[in-house]
Amino acid sequence: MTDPPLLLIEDSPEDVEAMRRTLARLGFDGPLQVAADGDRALETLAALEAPPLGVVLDLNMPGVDGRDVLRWIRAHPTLSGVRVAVLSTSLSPQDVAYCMEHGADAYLVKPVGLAELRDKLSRMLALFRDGAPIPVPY
Amino acid sequence: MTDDTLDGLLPVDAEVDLTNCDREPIHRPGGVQAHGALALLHPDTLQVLAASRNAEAVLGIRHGRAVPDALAPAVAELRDEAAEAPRDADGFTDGGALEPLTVDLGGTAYDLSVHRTPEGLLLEGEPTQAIELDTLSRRGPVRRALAALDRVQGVAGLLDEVVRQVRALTGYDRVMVYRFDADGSGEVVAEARRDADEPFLGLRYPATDVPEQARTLYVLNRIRVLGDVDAAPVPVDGVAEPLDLRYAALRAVSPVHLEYLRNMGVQATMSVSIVQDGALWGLIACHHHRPFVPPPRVRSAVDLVGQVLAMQLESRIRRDASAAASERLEAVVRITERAVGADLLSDALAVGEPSLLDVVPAEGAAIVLDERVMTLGTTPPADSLETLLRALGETVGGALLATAECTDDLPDAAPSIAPLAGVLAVPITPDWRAGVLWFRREAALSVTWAGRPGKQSVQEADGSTTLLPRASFAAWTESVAGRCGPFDPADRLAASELRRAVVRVVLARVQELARLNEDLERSNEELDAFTYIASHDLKEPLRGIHNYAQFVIEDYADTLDDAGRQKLDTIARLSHRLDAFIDSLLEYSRVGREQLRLRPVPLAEAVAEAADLLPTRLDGAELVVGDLPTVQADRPRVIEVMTNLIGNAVKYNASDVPRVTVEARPAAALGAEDRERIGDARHVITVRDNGIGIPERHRESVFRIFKRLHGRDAYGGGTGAGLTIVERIVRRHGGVIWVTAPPDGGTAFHFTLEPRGDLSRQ
Repeated sequence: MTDPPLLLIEDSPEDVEAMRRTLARLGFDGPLQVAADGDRALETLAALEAPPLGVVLDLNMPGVDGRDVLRWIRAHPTLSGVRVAVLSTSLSPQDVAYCMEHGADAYLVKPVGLAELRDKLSRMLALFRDGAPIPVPY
Repeated sequence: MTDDTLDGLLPVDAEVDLTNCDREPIHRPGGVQAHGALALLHPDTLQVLAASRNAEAVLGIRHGRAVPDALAPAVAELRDEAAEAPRDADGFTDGGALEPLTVDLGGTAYDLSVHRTPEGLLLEGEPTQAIELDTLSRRGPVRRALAALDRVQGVAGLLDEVVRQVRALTGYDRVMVYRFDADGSGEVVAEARRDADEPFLGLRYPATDVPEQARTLYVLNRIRVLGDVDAAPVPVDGVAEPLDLRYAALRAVSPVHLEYLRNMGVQATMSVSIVQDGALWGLIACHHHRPFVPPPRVRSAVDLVGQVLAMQLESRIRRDASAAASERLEAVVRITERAVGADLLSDALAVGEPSLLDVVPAEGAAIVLDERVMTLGTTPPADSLETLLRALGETVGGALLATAECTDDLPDAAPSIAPLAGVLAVPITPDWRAGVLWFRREAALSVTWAGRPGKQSVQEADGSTTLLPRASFAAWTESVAGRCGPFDPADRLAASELRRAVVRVVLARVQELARLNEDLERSNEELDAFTYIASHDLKEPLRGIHNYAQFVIEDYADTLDDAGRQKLDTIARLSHRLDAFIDSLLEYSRVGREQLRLRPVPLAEAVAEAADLLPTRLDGAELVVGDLPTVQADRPRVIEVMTNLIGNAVKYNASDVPRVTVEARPAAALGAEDRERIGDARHVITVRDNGIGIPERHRESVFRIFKRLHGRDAYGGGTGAGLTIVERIVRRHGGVIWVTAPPDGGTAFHFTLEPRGDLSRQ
C-alpha cells in the first residue's frame, strides 16, 4: 500500500534533503510534495485532489509564513481536517502557544542530528497515520 | 571717638548701668561753650529772655533788656528769614540755624545766627574768623572736594577721599569716618592724620561710647563742634530749666565726655553726621590737639561734604554689594561648572579655586556629600561635624541655618565646634545627609576695641552717681566667648545660590544616571533580542553542516576510508557542541527577556521537581533537603536554578557517595557581611556539596558565560552556561548569589530570591 502524499512546506533545501532521506528510511513511500515558501504552499494545497497524509510546516519563511498557512488550512472547507505538524527551530513559548491555539496537531523542534530527526519524524508519521499524540513541544 | 555722653547727673536711687546714659538729656546741658555767646529772645519784641553769662561782654546783650541797636537790624533780618524756614515737629527751625550774618561790633566782627525754638528765638554769636576768599567760590576747595568724590571708585575710595578733603578744608589734626553697626557699636573705616599720631583706623568702639539718644540727636543736628576741652562752659542766666539746645552750635558738652576726650588726648573736636534715609550711617569725626573752632562757613562746607557723601554712599554701597555679590555668584557658577563633569561631586566642590570660602567668607567650610566629608580652612573635627549635622537635622529640618552664636541656637553641638562660634549651613538633601557648612571663629579673636569698653561708675559723697569714661584707649581685645561676625543677607543669598546650583547638578546627575540605566536596559534588551534571532539563524546552517557530514558518510561509505569517516564524525560532533552553545545562549537570552510570573513557590517542591528533571537523575547521590520556605518566584525558573545547582553538585563530585544539601537560613541568622549583601531578603538558600570544590580565584568567574573550569569532556562536559543562567534568574528575582568553600570541603552556593530593596531588578 502506498502512502498518500505528504506536503512539506520548508524553505531550506538542506532541511528538505534531511527530511526526504529520513522519511524514506522510516518507510514513507508516498509522494513528497515540497513547497519552498508559503505562497507556493497555498497553491499546492489548492491544487490537491485528495487530502494529504499530513502537512509538515516550517514557521519562519519569507512571504506568507507558516502561521498564515496554518490559519488558511484550518479555515479551508475541505482541508480543515488535515493533520498539521509544525517543524520549527523556534522553541519560544509564544510560537508554541500560537500554533497550538490555531490547531496544529504537533509542535516539533528541528534538531541538529539525524538520529534526533529520525526520532521526531517517526512520531510524526505515527500521528499522521494513526493519530498517536506527541508531547508539545517535542 | 564720641562727642557726647551723659551729663553725670543721675537720680540718687537710679540703678546704674551703662544704658542709663541713654536717658540723659544731653540736649539741655545748662551751658554754652566759651568761644561764643548765646541768648534766648522773644520772637516778636526781641526782648532778651535768657542769655549766657558772657553775652554782655561779647555781644552787649543783657538778660531782661532788648537786643542792642547795633544788632537789632541783623537779628530782625535773621528772625524774618527763620520765620519762613520750615520747622520740625517740635517747633524748631528744621536743621538749626540758617546762614550766619556778619555784624561789626565796635571793630570786632561777629558771625550771628538764629533759629526758632518753642521757647523763643535762639541767637548765637561767635567772633568771625578770616577765611580765604575762595573757600566757597565756584573753583574753591569745597567744589574741588565734591568733584573729587565723584571721581573715586567704591565705598573705601570714597571714604578715603572724604577724610583727605575734610582735613584739607578744616585743618584738623585727624579726620576719620566712623561707621555704626546695627548694634550701635562702630568702627573707624577711614582716616587722615598727622604722620606722628597713632592710627585709629580699624578700631572698634562699643555702642555705649555714643549712646542712643546722642545718635538720635545727631540725626537732627548734623554738626557739633567742641572748641576746647579745657574751657569751662558758660552758664545761661534767666531760665529755670536748662534750655533745649539741640540745634545750638555752642551747646556745651558733658564733663564725662570731656574727660573721655582728655583721656584720648584730644583738645578740640568736630563731628558731622552722615545720615542716610533718616538713619545715622556714621560720622565724620575730627580731632585736634589744640583748641580749635572752624568758622561756621567751613563747618557748613563739611556738612555739605557729609551730605554729598551720604548720597554717594548709597549708590556706591549698592554697587560694591552688587559687585561683591556677582563675584560670589561667579564663584558659585565656576564651582558648579567644575562639578558637572567630575567623578565625585564632593571633590569638585571642595577642591580648587574659587573655593567655598569665596562664596561665603569664613574661617572654614565643609561639604558633606557622596557619604563623605570634605573640609577646607579651619573646621571642627569630623566627629564633631556629625554631631552638628544631627543637631541641624533635628533643629532646622530642610531649611538654611545661619547663626553667629552656636551656644544659643545649637546648644548640643556648640561645645564640639569651639573655638568656632558661628555656622552657616545649607542642606543639599532635606535630611542633612548632604549639605554645605561654613564656620566663623569667635569675633573676639578678630576684633580690636579701642580701649576696654564699658565705663566705670562711682558713687559720689553726696549720693549721686558719676560715670567715669575709660582712661585708656590702647587697642584691646575683648574676651567674649561664643559669638562671631554675623552672617549677613548676602552670605545667606550666596549660600542659597550654591545650594540651588549643587542641587541642580545633583539632579542632572541623577537624570543622567537614570538615562544611562535606561540605555543600558534597552541595550540589554536589544542584545537579548539579537542573541535570540542570531541563535536561530545560526542553527539552520549548523543543521545543514551536521546533516551533510552524515550524508557524506552514508552516500560514500564505499569510498571513504576510516580517517575520512572519523573526520566527518568530528564535524558532526563539533556541530552538536555548537548547537548546545547556541541552545545555552537562547536560554540565557530567554531568561533575560521573558516576564517573570511570580507566584508562591514552595521551595521543597521545586527541589523535588528539579531532582526528577536531572538528565542523569541523582545517579546514586544523596540529596538532603532541610526546611525550606515558600517564596514569591517564577516556578519554572526556580526549578531551573535548582536543576543547575544540584546537577553541578552531583556532576563535579568525586566522593564515593556524592551528597547534596539544600537548606535555608533566615536573614537574622546571618553575619553582618552577608546581611548587608542580601539587603531586604528574608531567607538565604544554600546548595552545598561534598564535591571537588571551586578554587578561590575562580569563585567570581564561575558565573561568567561559557566559563568552564575543566576540560570540555571532563565531568560529563557541558557548555558552561548553567551558572550564568542561574545567576541571571536570581538577579531577575532581585536576589544575589555567591559561592563559598565550606571548611570541610566541597562547594556551597548561597542565593536569595527576594529583592534586595535598594537595587533595581536586572
